[in-house]
Amino acid sequence: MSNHFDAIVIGAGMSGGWSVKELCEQGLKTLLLERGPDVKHIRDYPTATKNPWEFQHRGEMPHKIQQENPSIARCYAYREDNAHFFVKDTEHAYIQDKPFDWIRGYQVGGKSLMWARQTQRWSDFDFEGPARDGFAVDWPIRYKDLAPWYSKVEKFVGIAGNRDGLDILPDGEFLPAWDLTCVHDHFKQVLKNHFPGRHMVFARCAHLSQPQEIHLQQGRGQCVSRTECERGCPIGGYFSAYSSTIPWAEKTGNLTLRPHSVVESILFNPDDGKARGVRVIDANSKEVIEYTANVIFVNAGAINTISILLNSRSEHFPDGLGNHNGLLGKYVAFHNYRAKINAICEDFGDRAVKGRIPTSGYVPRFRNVYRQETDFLRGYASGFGASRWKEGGEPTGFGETLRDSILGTKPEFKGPWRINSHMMGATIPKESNYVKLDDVQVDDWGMPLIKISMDYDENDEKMIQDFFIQFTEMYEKAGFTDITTRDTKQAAGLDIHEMGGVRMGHDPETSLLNQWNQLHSCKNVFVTDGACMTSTSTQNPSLTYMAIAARAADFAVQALKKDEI
Amino acid sequence: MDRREAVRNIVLASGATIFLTGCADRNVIEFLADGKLKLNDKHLDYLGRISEAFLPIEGVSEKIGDPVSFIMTMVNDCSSTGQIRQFATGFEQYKMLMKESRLKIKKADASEVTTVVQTALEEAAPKEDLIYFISSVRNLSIRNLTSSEYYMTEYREYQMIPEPYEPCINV
Ligand SMILES: Cc1cc2nc3c(=O)[nH]c(=O)nc-3n(C[C@H](O)[C@H](O)[C@H](O)COP(=O)(O)OP(=O)(O)OC[C@H]3O[C@@H](n4cnc5c(N)ncnc54)[C@H](O)[C@@H]3O)c2cc1C
Repeated sequence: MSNHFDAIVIGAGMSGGWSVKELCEQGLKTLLLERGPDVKHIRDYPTATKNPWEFQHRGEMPHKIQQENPSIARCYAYREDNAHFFVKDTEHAYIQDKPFDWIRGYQVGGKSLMWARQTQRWSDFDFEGPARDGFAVDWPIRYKDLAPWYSKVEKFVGIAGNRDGLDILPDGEFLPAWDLTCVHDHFKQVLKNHFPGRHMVFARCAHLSQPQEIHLQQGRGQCVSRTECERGCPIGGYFSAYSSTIPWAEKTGNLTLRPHSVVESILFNPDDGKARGVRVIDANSKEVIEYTANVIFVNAGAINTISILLNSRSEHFPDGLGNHNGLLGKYVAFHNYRAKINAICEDFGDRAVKGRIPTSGYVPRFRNVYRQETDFLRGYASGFGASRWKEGGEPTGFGETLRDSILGTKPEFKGPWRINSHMMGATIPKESNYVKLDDVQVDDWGMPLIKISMDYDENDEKMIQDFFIQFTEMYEKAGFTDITTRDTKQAAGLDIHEMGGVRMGHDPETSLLNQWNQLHSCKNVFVTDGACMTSTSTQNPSLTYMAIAARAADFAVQALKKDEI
Repeated sequence: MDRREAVRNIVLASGATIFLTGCADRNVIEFLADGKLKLNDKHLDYLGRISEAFLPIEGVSEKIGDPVSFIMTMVNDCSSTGQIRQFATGFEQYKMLMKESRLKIKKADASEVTTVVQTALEEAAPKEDLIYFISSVRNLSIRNLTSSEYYMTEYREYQMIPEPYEPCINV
């Protein structure tokens, strides 16, 4: 096998899947390098069809594993049925200069198997945010630049949603949404009547509520709302790189997938000012191999992408590839997911839900949208859940009394509706937040250990208090009772939306990537995962990464054709 | 030093493998080197009887997984070393309690056992480890039942592919 390709994509996750799909479809012989093992759709979902009672610990994670892996143990999604997709803290150490729970999935498909599939578009309120509010740098793109790519991604991925007509949350190419409950409708109405500018909509999600021809061609079928998505869906009812983009790229005949390939660095050629390839360490044999290509896409997941670039040192770039201004790894940010609110709704006692759905309600950002109205910058979106489940008998006493209390009656809808919301707050990228490489310590593959320092600031604290006040007010107006608020005080990272560090911008002096995601100072290297994000917004970011990746890949192909890179 | 403290001290003072002399019989409770509990057949049988006394499943037991193996798995895998030791100490105290009450577990009627247990729980100075043991066996027996195929399908109507979703049904 030749070691030369038209393109190399580093990282086979959510964004890398889109890079390879676009590059391969447009005829480029593409090498996809993934540090983890291959995970094949259906074949490698060992728990997908297990019943709850077939799990040895009924879903609970063993104590020893939790003790040894404190960061992932704090992640809500890390459970007995999908633990095998999570990177263990113990296996891939990193240095927390400040507490940071780094949640990773090292395998072909990346975290696209574990994700919660929430897919909201960004709007110009997000892309214009830094310029308007005077933080970070101005995004070099606007909504109109990305809108066609959002559409392209949405059609292929399959997004269930309603056209809500909100400027803060642009509509897309939607499959039918599921209807939400009467309590959702009630809350929606309360917002409409009493809180102008606030809305509750169906949270758009990457599920095939009504598969189209393009989805059937991918071999995917209708989502049947099993809601066991995190184990891998044998039906392909939700989008993942495993079930969708990577097999699609494979079908073109242009893809070479190499799992177990840890990309150590990108190799720079000072003669033409371009990257010439990558250096890979075979994860098992530790053999070092070099691959060359005309164009390189870095999609290793924000923090790993930063680390690969930092580790790509040369005489020309002593502080890392493209790091001519010393900003590589700085201005990293995340989402503030600390605030939760719960309540009960005593109304609608004669109503309940039958079956399950894979999403819930969503309250788009309403703070500081049209003007600055609070003493903190930006704002937050929120989930809105309302559910009611059948409750069995309260276990009472011992012996026959206990047995009869459990088996004497069938579970019924007796309790009230349970209401919950969780804040999804924007954080402001700061120079003091960073990802660096340690000068001394290395991992098992000889790569310098990654050091992470990200923290909340006063803006985040004020936002949390505002969320509690606003949601308490809205909940009270809706007649909800027993309202309790909770600041989880969780460290950064558990939002699993790390962004920035290789930010886009107009000016090469203050940013690393241009409007096409090319490194300003090494034009055949593209960064199209979370690392490219200039600011964080409030919406779940992966849809935007995918749209950015597709757009940049298309640009790269055109540029290659014109010999411009 | 009361009996509870005495038993506890034995547990704490011992190394990786300790032997507790039971009162209900002369069997021992043993710890493995990794701190996990290893019960011999007699103790496993005894634990089964306790579980059955707390939550009788006779008649449906073949439709429900074995509570003893579930309890042991959960105690050993999902508890801290301290909790495992607490469970063991509590087990010893339970045996003493039954002995004091002159209840031979083999003969004892479930209702007698529960009366003794409830009286012990209501004591002015409740025994922490005993309570831990009793509530662990009770809770895990309940969990074994309510997460069983029998309960999930017959009572919870669980289906891997759920019935079609309806957001607002009348109940
Ligand atoms: C529980 C959970 C819930 C989530 N919910 C949502 C949600 O609802 N909506 C949303 O938008 N996002 C969500 N996310 C986040 C989402 O999964 C990520 O934003 C997305 O996967 C990022 O895509 P990526 O391509 O940048 O990284 P990944 O998908 O992580 O892929 C990166 C890949 O690069 C590989 N790699 C890393 N380093 C190297 C190297 N040196 N050499 C070779 N390969 C390398 C990794 O092994 C990995 O396969 C969630 C994540 C989790 C875990």
